[in-house]
Amino acid sequence: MTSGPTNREALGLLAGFALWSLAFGLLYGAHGAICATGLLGETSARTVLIGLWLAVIAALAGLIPWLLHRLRTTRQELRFVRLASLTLAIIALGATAWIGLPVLTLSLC
Amino acid sequence: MSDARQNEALRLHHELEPLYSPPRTRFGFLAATNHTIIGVRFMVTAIAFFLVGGVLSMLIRAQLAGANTQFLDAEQYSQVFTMHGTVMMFLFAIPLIEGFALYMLPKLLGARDLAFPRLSAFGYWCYLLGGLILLAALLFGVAPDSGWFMYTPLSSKPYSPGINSDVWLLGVTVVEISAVCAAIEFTVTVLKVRAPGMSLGKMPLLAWYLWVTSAMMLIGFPPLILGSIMLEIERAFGLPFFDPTRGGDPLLWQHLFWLFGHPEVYIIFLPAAGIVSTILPVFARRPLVGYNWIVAALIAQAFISFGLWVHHMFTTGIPHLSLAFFSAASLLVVVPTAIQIFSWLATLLKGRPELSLPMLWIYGFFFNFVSGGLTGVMVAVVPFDWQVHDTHFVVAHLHYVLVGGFVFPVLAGLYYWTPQITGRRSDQGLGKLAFWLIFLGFNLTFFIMHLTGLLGMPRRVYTYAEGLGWEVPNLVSSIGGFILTIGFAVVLIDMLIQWRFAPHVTRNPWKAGSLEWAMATPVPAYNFASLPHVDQRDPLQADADLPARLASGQGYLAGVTSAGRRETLGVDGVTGTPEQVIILPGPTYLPLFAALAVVGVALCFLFSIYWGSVLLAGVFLGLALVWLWNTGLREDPAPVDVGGGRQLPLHPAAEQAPGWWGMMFTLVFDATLFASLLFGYLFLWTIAPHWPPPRFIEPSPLLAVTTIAALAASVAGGFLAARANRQGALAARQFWLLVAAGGGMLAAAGFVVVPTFLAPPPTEHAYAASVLMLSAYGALHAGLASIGALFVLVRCRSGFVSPLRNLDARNLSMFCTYAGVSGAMVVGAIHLMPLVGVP
Repeated sequence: MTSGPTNREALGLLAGFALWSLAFGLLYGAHGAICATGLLGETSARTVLIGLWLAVIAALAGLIPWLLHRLRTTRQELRFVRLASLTLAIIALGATAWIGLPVLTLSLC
Repeated sequence: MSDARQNEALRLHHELEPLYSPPRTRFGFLAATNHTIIGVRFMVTAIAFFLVGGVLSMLIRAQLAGANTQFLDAEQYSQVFTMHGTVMMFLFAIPLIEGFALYMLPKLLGARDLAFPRLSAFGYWCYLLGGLILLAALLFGVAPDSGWFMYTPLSSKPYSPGINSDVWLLGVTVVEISAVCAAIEFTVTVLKVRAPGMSLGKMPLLAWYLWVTSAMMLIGFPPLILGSIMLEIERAFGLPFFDPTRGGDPLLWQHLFWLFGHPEVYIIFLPAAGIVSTILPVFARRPLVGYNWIVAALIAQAFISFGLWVHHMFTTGIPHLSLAFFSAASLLVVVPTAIQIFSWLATLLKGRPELSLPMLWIYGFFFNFVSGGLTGVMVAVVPFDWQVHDTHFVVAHLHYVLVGGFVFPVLAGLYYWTPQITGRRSDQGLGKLAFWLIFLGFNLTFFIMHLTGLLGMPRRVYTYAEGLGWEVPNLVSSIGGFILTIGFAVVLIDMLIQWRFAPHVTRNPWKAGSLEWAMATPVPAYNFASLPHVDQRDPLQADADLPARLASGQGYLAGVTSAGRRETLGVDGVTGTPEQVIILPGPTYLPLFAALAVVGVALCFLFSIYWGSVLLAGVFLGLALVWLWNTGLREDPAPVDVGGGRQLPLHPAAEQAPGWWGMMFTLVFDATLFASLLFGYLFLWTIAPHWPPPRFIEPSPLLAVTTIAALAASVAGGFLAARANRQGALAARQFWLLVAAGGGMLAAAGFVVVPTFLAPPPTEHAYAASVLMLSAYGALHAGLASIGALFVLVRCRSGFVSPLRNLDARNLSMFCTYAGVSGAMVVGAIHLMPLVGVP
């Protein structure tokens, strides 16, 4: 393995908003596919979209305690990166909740 | 400084300066690779293009000053406004950032140069030559005329039959090569080439901003590069990617363009915000409030900015729910921006702000950028956007964001950092006059333009009739525009006076804390005579004696080592622990020749000399191999004493050499390009009209399986060759390299078979055109993997590769893996999708 353990710490910075991007891509892509194919009815389609949205929110909610745990056991020079990773994950959770809200109310296609 | 220290500093200066300078021969300046020289060239060239863009803007304002003006005709006006936008975005804003980062990053990070100096030089030549193609077209009256975002079908062959659009597509793509080179250069540099001790938490905020920006460039530019290639192929050979009558879709161009175009706004804004975050604390006389929050905010902003592109397409008929996702993201992006603004305000409130000239520009930035941000919130709301779309309201908004959010901080930076380049400080009076002329001229021009837009005036019309209520606001905008231009002329005069006549300044005239002020002014070519150990965010605030100690060699890598080569230190990306000595290449003409080959490819394509393009692409490949050949060592190096009791390996023997990361980030770019290609294929498949196509490819499971098997052989060959190399099994290494080469070649042949024998003609339908593009992508990568394996084999035989010096083998393995995975996805997309069918 060529990337050292500390470089993997840097990836933690990206984890929260990588999940946000996943949520965004899934919602937009699935919505486009649902409307283009017309395979699902209104209720089923909305259920799928809400399910995708909640799945990513759950993943983010699961990520946060893990990042919090890593914060407690860190070396001093890694503390900044781990704190930033946690902060970003919390912001990403709020951001994911926000961008998916229209799924609950707006007409689908 | 004591006499002994001063003498030692002078001795080191005389030793280092010639080593880091270009050769003193007639054409030696063309071989320069030093980041200070290349950075200054970039910035001066960008400013020259800015002046061209400024003249074009004056032509626009002269034309629109009154109703029914005949100063320009419709065709001339189209060329002028297209080139104004193109020059300002592609030839001024982005390259200025590149030049600034090129110049500044090693100085901020406590290094002697960037990770890949030859790449910087190559990028500069591509930028200059690509920009000159565009300017030459303007002089010959064949400049692009379809708007700076080149919407199809207006830019398609039937509606733009001349070479105007081709000039844009090819010229801008050549310029974008420079941006991609810069992005790879900066991401690796900030990660690896820093002063020892500079952990991520101690890195200057400007470096954070430039790092995030360069990562955004890596992801943001590929969609446009792909779109440009597709549109140029459509125009040249009739492949109908954007032609709705043959299964294409003009909306695909809009998606690809704005996937680049909206992050581009933040790519421009973030470095400017970094300038603000650097200058403002210096003049507030206290550290910036909320360092951690700003880092989090700018990473969040980078991600969210990729979720905004459809807000340029709110009127294209996309379903409301999708619009709502993008509207929500467009509102969301305000939050990280606001975090930064409140952090700056808090710093001012808690500090003792001094109203110097750079700060005056920053206050101007606050006013203009916040105004632009607020109108941004307005156009993020879908119903409002529908009302003002394509009106002058949007023109006003984007200028508030780009001029307010970019040009004002850049001018602050100009007045702040030019003393470092020139060694002199400009006259405050002339600078203040310039500020007020620009501030008032800008607001006079663009504030009232919101009203012009609300009154219904569309953008991009070359004239308008009387009696619509547009005459007065347009006249006011034109008067403001000329005042604005006079302001820029005063800045230019001020800079020329500074360069020649202003009084000299001493080191660190602003009493700043960051490392770029630790060096003499004007800066020496080598930056630091010895490299610092950093344990504070503002090293000069904590240790005022640091510059003198570094100059007299009391740091790492003091002076020139016995090997007589350019060197700097590489560190662990997160902790800043020193881990390697990076050997930097010296002056070379290769970047210039390689850029000439690239420009030759584009020019031959422009004039339909396709055999010339193929020939010059071959020349470029040859030069690239020569370039790669001149790296590495033929013997295992011993660790080097860098000072402070540390011995470090040279980078060819280091696990995390910059080249490994360079390959990694190149593949990030490549993967984004591939993802954009797949997106385009799926978009056309599901959304475009006139699908299904008349016929799909002839099914051939045997070919699919054979191609996959060949790709697997290439991946396995690359991986096992790297492993055999580590184990010192040289015969096995040779065998597996041959397997990798053979697998790659066979897979490339498998990809070539599809469009040649199995697919319908690519001009028939967008489906067949897409299959050709996917096959070409797969063939290119499998072919490069094969060439790469043979190249590494020759390098092994020439002694460049050993169990210790294993970078070639590891990079080859990484590339083969990428080519294998992406190739397998291409096979799936080509052979499986017809089985799924069209919705």
